[in-house]
Amino acid sequence: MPILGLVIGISPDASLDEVTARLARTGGVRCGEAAGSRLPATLVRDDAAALDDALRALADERGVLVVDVVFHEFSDVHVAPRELAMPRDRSRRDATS
Amino acid sequence: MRRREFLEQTAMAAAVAAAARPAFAVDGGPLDESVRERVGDDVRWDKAPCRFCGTGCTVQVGVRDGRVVAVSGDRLAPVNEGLLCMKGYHVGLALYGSDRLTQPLLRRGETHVPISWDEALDVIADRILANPPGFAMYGSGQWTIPEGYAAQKFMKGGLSNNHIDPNARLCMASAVTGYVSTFGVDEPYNCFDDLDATDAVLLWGNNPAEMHPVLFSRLMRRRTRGESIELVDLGTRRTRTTSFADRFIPTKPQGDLALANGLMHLLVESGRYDREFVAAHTTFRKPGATPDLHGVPATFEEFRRHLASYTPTRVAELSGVEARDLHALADLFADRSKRILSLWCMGMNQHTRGTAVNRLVHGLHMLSGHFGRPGDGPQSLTGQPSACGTVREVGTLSHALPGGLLVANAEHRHEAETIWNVPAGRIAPRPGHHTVEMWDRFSRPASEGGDIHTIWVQVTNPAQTLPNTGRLFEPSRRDPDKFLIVSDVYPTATVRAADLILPSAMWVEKNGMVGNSERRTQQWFKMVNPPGSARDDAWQTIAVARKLFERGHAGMRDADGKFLFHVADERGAEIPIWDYDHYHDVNVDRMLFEEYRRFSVLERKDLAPYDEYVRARGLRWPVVEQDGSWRETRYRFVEGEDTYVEAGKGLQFYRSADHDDRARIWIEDYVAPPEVPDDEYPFWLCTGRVLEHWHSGSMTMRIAPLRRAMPEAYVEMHRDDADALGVAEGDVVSVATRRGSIDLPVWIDGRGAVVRGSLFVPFFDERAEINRLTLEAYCPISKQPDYKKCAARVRVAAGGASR
Repeated sequence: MPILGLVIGISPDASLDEVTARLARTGGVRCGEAAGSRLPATLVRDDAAALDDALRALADERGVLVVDVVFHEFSDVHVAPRELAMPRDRSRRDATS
Repeated sequence: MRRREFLEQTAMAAAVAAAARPAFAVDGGPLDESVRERVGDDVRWDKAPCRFCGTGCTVQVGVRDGRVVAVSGDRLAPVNEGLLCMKGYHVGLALYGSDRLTQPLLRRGETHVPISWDEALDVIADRILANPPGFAMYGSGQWTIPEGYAAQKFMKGGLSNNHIDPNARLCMASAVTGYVSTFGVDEPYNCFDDLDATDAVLLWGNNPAEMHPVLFSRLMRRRTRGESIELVDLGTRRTRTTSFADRFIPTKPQGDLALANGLMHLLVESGRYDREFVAAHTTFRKPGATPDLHGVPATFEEFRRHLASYTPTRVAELSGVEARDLHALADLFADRSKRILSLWCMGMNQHTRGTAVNRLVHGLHMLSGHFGRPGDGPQSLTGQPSACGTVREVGTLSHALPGGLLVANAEHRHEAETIWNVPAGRIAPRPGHHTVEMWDRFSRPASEGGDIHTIWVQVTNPAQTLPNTGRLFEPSRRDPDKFLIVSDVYPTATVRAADLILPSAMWVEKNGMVGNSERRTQQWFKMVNPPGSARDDAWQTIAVARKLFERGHAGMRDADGKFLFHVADERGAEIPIWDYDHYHDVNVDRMLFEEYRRFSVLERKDLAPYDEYVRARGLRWPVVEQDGSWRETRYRFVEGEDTYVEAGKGLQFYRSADHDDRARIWIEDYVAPPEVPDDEYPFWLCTGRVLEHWHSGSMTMRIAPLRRAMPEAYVEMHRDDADALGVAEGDVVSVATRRGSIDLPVWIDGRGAVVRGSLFVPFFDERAEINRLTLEAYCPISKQPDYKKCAARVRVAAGGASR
């Protein structure tokens, strides 16, 4: 179960309390005490893919200017096989269109 | 406490420490105690620079049971202060792709068969001895400093052969020639501290939000504090960086030449240039009859006359930059109360006029006086972890020697021969083949001038990254006389095409040192063992040298008859470092680095002793001993910062080619690109990188989360162009140039957005060989090819359109 340690930079025109409360309601996210506009947090998910999705979602949250990763534990993340079962699907692009 | 809870607490502790840290106020200290405290009993932590880009972030690497299991940003590292980007926090996983190369393999017909290391070394020695001048080495900015130094000494000091060049020729050679021809010495005078002090950042075809995310985050961190930093994005396409920019100014391909001239024209015409700076610190120069680093002297009056034709109207025509934007930028440069930082990377360097545009941006800063204060100057960024440390400083280029020396300079050759203790005349006086020429000659039959018969590739993937690979790479694979040796960690496209494959150790599987984009040299120790019989690249080079020594090759002996890489213990007995069982009896990196360090003082690029780097999170050269300690240099040429500047000088370009302590402002004209869109190929094609993948993707495509996030290459198209072609998002099109074609899915208004008439394709995906299409034309001075602009067409692939 991979774990990330994060520093979330809150936009100066956003309310730190509101953003923190909203992030804290996100599953797998635990927020620490902010230092100015920099909010420490952890993010835990069942697998690397879900972790990656959750991290992207955090970066897209209203009021979040930037998310930096400072810690990554991945001892039980499986490495990529020679050819991942990833055909030339278009799901990523569909998601952005 | 359950293990998961412990790890969560550890993650939170790292986050709290990084969040609380005052922005980039370095308190130093040899060890990050906060990391050590949260170690737990079963994880051992040590520092290493990240394996990927040229930023040089330090990571704390956690090892348990001989395996890397965690990474943490090193909060004591001045570069990243605990932060890691998407690639950086996955860097540990790069070691553990399931298809690591673990044994030497020799081609037998259509397959590769396992052989022993001894057999492999014999094969290489045979190829060299069969035709010594026809042998070449091709390395990279991922060579560690000791690896590059070993290769450099082996080739130039051993084989008397200058055919050694790196892939960095393809990414930052124009920055080198720009710096050398302007300041008389390579590499930025400034450093990343500028990011904390600047008022405005001009991004010249640069996308740091994806390519140098930690540096970009450093800027964004200032915005979270409510500081105002103006970001101006000058580029041919919108990128992730653009979304953070205050202004995006679209430019035509090659338009940067006209833009820089246009800005200087407005400054001179209006009298708003910095007369005092120009008079005190600069001279003027113009190209001579033959393109070179020196040109011929010019006057300010010639400069002014040259600029007169770069009126806003003409500049708009050539660059696409509208007059009001040009005037706004000129106003910015005319305001010396603001500090302006210009950043660039491949956008300016991969350019058939790369040297010229580098010179112009330097000139713009000096003309306007935006130079010499923190946050105020021009700075090129590099894409590889040691493009600066290994390529530019060790000099693994076909024309260079370590420490900024040149093979064509008799005095420099003598100095190198002295340090290497090899007989006078050992180093050949003519530069070897640069990258494009090397591969061109490898691809041509011997009867047609193809004088390179064997290339040994280390730490790079030219089958995917050379330009126009259909001409520069593939023909040699059909020529039975040509032999390709590849040392690598994964079966890349180049490895699969090789005749001999050597499995290499990577990153923390070996000792290493690298140098980042701000002259910072970093060191790390081996932490885990490489898989199977994979071995260090430096050992491979030394072992081949020993084979040649044993076969009587005179070049593998120094002036005293000893082995070129002779190492003795304290009793004077030779340590057989060519035998891998004894390679780690001594720290070979330390031995190579201490020898290399002797070069560094010759051109005032002083490096500290190896042990200083063991303690530090990198030091920026020149590093000079003062009052018993070693002091790094943030800003070269600046009094009070650089100890080589004489008292009272203020600013002194002490490496000036003219020995006058002045930098050169160059007269350079706009020149059209070598290939432009026409009726047959109506689009501009630009290539580049993406956030998730590093270069050719040989490592990051094996990291499942990164591959999942960006699984395949694509072609960015403008919606109007896609509509005109009748294709929609995801449809497969055929992208073609005069050199080849590939099929790619279309991406419209995605992360990047091209302007109408333009295409963008990333090069990380080996299944989509975009470099079959790119142009091999290069800057006549730097020899760096242009991957950023050529003419292309798009057609619906068979069965590709959905409407």
